[in-house]
Order: sequence, then C-alpha cells, then structure tokens
Amino acid sequence: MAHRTRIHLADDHQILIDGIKTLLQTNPNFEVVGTSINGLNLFEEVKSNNIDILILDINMPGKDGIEIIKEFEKKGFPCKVIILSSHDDLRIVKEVMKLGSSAYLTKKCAGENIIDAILAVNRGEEYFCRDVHQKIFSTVTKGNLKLNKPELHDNAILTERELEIIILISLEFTGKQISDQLFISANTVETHRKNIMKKLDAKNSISLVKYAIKNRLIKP
Amino acid sequence: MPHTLIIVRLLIMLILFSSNAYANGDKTSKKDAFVMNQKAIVLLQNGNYEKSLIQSRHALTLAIHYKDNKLIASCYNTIAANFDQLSEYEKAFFYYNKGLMYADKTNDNELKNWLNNNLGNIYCFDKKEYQKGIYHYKKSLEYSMKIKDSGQIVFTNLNLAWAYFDIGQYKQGFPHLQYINKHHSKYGTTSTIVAFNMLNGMYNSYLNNVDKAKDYFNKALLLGNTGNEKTDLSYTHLEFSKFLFKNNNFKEAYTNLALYNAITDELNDAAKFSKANVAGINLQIDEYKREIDKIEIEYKTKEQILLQQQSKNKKILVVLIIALIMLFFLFYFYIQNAKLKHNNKLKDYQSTIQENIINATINGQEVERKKIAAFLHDNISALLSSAGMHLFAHISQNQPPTQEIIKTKAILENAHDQVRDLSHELMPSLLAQFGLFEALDDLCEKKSNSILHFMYSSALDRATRFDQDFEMKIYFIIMELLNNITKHSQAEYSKINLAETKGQLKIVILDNGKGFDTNEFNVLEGFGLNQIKARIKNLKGSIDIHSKINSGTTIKLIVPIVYPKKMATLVFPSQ
Repeated sequence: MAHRTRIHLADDHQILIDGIKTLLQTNPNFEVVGTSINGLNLFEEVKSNNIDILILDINMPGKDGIEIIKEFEKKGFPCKVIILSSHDDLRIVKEVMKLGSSAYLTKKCAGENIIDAILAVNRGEEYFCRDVHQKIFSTVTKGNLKLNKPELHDNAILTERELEIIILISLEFTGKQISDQLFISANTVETHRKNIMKKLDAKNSISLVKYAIKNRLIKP
Repeated sequence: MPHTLIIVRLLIMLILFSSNAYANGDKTSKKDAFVMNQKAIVLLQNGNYEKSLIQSRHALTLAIHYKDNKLIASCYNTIAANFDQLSEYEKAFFYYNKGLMYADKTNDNELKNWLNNNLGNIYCFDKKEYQKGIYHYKKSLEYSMKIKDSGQIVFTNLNLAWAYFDIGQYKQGFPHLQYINKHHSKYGTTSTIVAFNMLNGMYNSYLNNVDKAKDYFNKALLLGNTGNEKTDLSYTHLEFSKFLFKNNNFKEAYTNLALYNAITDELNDAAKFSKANVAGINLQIDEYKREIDKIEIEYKTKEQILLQQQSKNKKILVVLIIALIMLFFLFYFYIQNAKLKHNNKLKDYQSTIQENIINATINGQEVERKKIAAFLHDNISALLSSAGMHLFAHISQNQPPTQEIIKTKAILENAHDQVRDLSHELMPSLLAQFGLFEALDDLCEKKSNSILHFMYSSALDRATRFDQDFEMKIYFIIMELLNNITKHSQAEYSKINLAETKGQLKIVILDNGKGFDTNEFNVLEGFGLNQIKARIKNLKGSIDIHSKINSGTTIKLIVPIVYPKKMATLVFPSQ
C-alpha cells in the first residue's frame, strides 16, 4: 500500500492509548500520528496532521466525544471517526452514527475488532464491533416470527453482514429501512446487495428471498 | 414540681399571718373581769348595790370585749340581782333574760340554774305570771339535777310546789311537795323550813286535813317568828288566814291577815329604807341601765365594724387565695402547654431528623452510585480494554494462539460484561447521555416482557433535559415503582405518562394489577413506599397513591422541576 493510514487516538486513559498503539503497531500499514487525552483543540490537531482516522472516546474531560463529532459535523469532517466507548446502548450508537461517525467499537471488543474496523472504514464502510452488530440486528428483527435462529446460519459464501442484509431484504425491509435500522448508509446497503447478488449469481430480489428460504435463513 | 412547693409554702405563710392578725386571746384581762365580777357579787351580798353595779358594769365591758359568754351571763346576773334587791323588778327581769341568753350559749349549768330560778321568782312573785314562772322553775330544776346539787333541787322543788299551790293546782304541785318532804330533813336549810311547813299546811288545807294543816301552819309560824325569813312568815300568815277563813274561823283569820299586812308593811318600809340608804341611786338607776345598755350597743357596733373588717379581710384573703390558685393553674397549664409544645417540637425534630437521615442516606447512595459507576465505566473498562489490546497484539504476532491465550481472552470479555452490567445498573449511560426521557423509554422497553408490558408515553420532547441530579432522582424513584409493579402487582400492563405544567413534572404510573390496602403500614414499608415518600418530600413534591384490592394501582407524582445549570456537569467525570 502506497499510503500508510494516519491515525489519531483520543482517550482520557493513557494506558488504553498505549494498548491501542501496541496493537496497531502490529500492522505496518497503520501509523499512530498523535494522541490526545482530552477533547480540546482536537479538530485543529486532526486537521493540521492530515489524519485519516480518529479513534475517539465518548467520555472525555474538556470536550466529550459527542461534542467533538457535533463540531466535526458543523465544520466538516477532517477525517473518518471510529468511536471507541464503554457504552453499548444502541441509542448512543445510533446518535453518533447519525452525526457522521463511521464505526462504533465497545471497549470490550476493541482489541479484537479495531484493526478490522480501521480496514473497513478505510474501504468506506460502516463498521460495528460484533457485540453491537448483533445487538442492532436482534433489535431490528426482534419479535419477528419468520426469523430462524442465527445458529442455523451456516453459510460459507456470504459474510455475516451480507447474511443480515439478505435476511432483512427477505423480510421485506426496503433499502432505506435497512440503512436506518442498521445505522449504515444507503450506499453501504446497496454495495452489500450488489455483492450478495454477484456472489449468489442472482438476478433480482426474488432470487435472494428464494435463497434465504432455501438456506433456512427465514421461515417460509 | 418545685413551683407547686413554693405556692403551697406561700399559702401556709398567709394563713399563719392572718390567723395571727385575728387572734385576740389575752387571759390576764379576762381574769381581771372575773375578779371584778366576784368583787361585785361580794358588794351585792353586803348590800352595797351602787358599788356593785359600777363594778359589775366594768366587768361586763371587759367580758363583752373578750366575748366570754359565761362571764357576760354572770355579770348580767349580778347586775340583775342588784336591781332585784333594789326592787327594780322590771330592770332585773330585763337583765336576767339577757344573762340567760348568754348563759344558754355556754355549758355552765349552775349559772343557767340560777338565772332560771331568779326569772321564775320574778314571774311568780312580781309579775304573777305563774305559767312562765313554772317554766323557768322547771328549767332550773333540770339544770340543778344536772349539776347534782341536792340543796338546789330541794329548793327549786319547793318553789315549784309553791307556784302550783298559789294558782290552786295542788295535784301538779304535790309531786314536788312529796320530794321536799322526802329530802328536806337532809338537804333543807333554815331559810326554806318556814316555806316548807307552810306548803304542807296549804296542801293539807286543800285536802281538808284540818288538824294536820293547822299543825303545819303553827309550826311554820313558830319557825318564822324565831327565824329571819320575814317574807315567808308574812306569806304563812296570809295562807293560814285563808285556811282559817275556809274553816269559818273568821276571827283568827282576820288576826292572821292583820299580821300579814303588818309584816308586809314592815318589809316594804325596810326596802324603802335600804333604797334610801343608797340615796341618789334611785336617780341614777336609769342612768346605770343606760350605761349598761350602751356597753353592749357600743360593743355591738364595734363588733359589727370588726366583723365587717374581718369579713372584708376574709374576702381579701379569699380573693387572694383564689387568685393564687388561679395563678397556680395558669402556671400549671402554661408549663403543660410549654411541655406539649416542646414535645411536639421534639417530635418534629425527630421526624425531620429521620427524613434527613433517609435523604442523606439516599443522597449518599446516589453519590456513591455515581462514583462507583463512573469508576467501573471509565477506569476499569479502560484497563480491561487496554489489556485486551495488548493481548491481541500478542496474538497477532504469535499465531496460532494457545489455549491459555484463548481462555484469557474469554475471561477478559466476561469481566467486561460484568463491569458493563453493574455500571449500567448503577447508572444507566442513557440517563447521563440523553436524559430522563430516553432513559425511561429504554427502561420500559427493557422491563417489558411477554407477561407484563410497560407502556411509556410523554408529552415532553424526548430531548428535554433537566438538572442531572434531579433526573437521576426521578429515574430511580420511577424505577423502584416499576420494580414494585414487576414484583408484586401481577399486572398485565402498566402505563407511565409524563407531563409538564408550570415548572412541575407530573408523573402518572398505573397498572391493572391486584392492588393493595394503602392503609396497611406493612405494605407501604414492604414496598419501600415510605422511603419513596421521603424522597419525594425531599424534592418538595407530592405523591398520591390510589389503590384498591383487585382494582389496580395509580400513583401520581408531582415534583417541581430543577432545570439544568448553565453547563451540565458530566455524569461520568474522568480522572
């Protein structure tokens, strides 16, 4: 890769910053350019340092994460933002995604998912760590009797995210609904849909539903 | 109580003081009066009537002054006797009566005996009112019997017999005569022996025992002529004359009548003489009477004044005592009232303290809750997360991971979950980040299950924010009430509604559960409702619990809203 991803870390716990640094150093494509332990002057710092990705904690002294994203939204995003928070409430997730964040990681799964998250965000996708991801999906499909238990989803062709999308399409969710409920952009939804159709060699949505029923993703 | 003692002492002192003021006892002066009267009696016996009168008058003044009834009666008796001796029967009669009046107030039977006898004499001999005389004689007899003076008894019986015989009531007089006949030999005196024989003569004359009568009369005449009882002798002559006349012995009857007249004249002359001896007394007698009367009148006026004074003093004393008693009661009530007030105040203080303790406990809990939640949420999860980073750094360099590493990863995740759960329970992040309404909506959603559904509705904008402490207090109060519904109500649904009017947050929570008796203390205590009440009170709000068995429960809370200060402080402040 010609360009190393320039990363800035903002968290009020130095020990966590150190941990993230250590982990990110294992990938030669990542470069931690700067760190902050509070939210002050973060916008200026990120902008002047040509940062690609900001990893941001919500709870910070001085200016908290939400205020910073609001500031970014107002002034224009100087970089992509990955939220790293100990909160796992979907309402918070939804809020920060709505404000324009690209990914949401809880502190629990940060270690496991942070590299994937950076890679996904670099690709221009939204990313949620697994816990949040599952939570979002189960909330969306909660109480839907047509849905089969996720343990049955054994699929080698489609990714987890692609399975979710095909299930929601089969459950007659529109693209807009899917984008709203999964906190991802309509673009992302469309990309996923295209990818699925390509992988399954499907011609239209009906083929996708057929596939879902056939593979027992949903009940007929 | 010390106050009571003081008042009682005061009362005793007052009574002592007053009794001293009214005490008049002076025995020496009383004795003087007695001695004076004794002197007057001696003077009377010596025929010195004028001096006796003066002396007895002084004695009377003193006696009246000292209110000694016995002495007064005795003085009156002496005065009357003086007048009696001076043949001033009307005056004597007047003073004997006065004397008797006072004597009757005493228990001096001897004095009563004398006065009655003397009065009897005046009625019988001077006024010729025999019935009244007999009444007094009988009284006299009664008292002489009480004092057991046999001589007096004989003497009075003799007077009675004579009085009855004089009015011809021989039968009534006879028992008295019988008594004299029986006892005269033993208790009779030379002064009565003439009359004694004369009465027997009279009785026998009545019985027409001529010889016996003659014998008695002769014996009486003989004794009368040898003795000193000239009056009795004269009466014997008169009665003997009547007897002779009855028996047609007119000549001798006449002789005896003549003798009677002669002796009577003689006696009258002597009386006149004795009166002449006290020359000037005649003129002064009326003066004396006036003086004596004046004594009493003056005394009475004085006494009246004194009585008035006394009654006035008594009234003052009574008023004073009543005033004191009233004062005491007032004081007592005042003390009681003060005590009661004090007790009430104490109770108020106690309940205030109790409430303060509850609120302090709750406030303390909230502070601790916040602290612990923040610590778990920020520090611990940061540490765990950091550990996770290092672990994955290690994993990425050492593929494939060993069992130990995989295990460590699982433990880390577990620790993360537990910290997250506890921190969330202590302080929901939604409450801090998005406020009361988001948090309550979320709470209802999370608490709902297939059996019980919590329906949340609010007239307020979801984004509305209040003071964070206020939001936290309201949130935990509502959470507790919802927990009660989950635990106790057996309801199928519950509705939570929030509204705002004029700076007041109105919260209504209802369910269709089994309800409970709001009067039962145990229930309130068991549901923690008393604690909730205290918390609402601390927020200056009100709580209204309406519940009936089998008809659900409605709880209304109205709490004045605390709006946020300029800058909302962070619920999860970082170190």
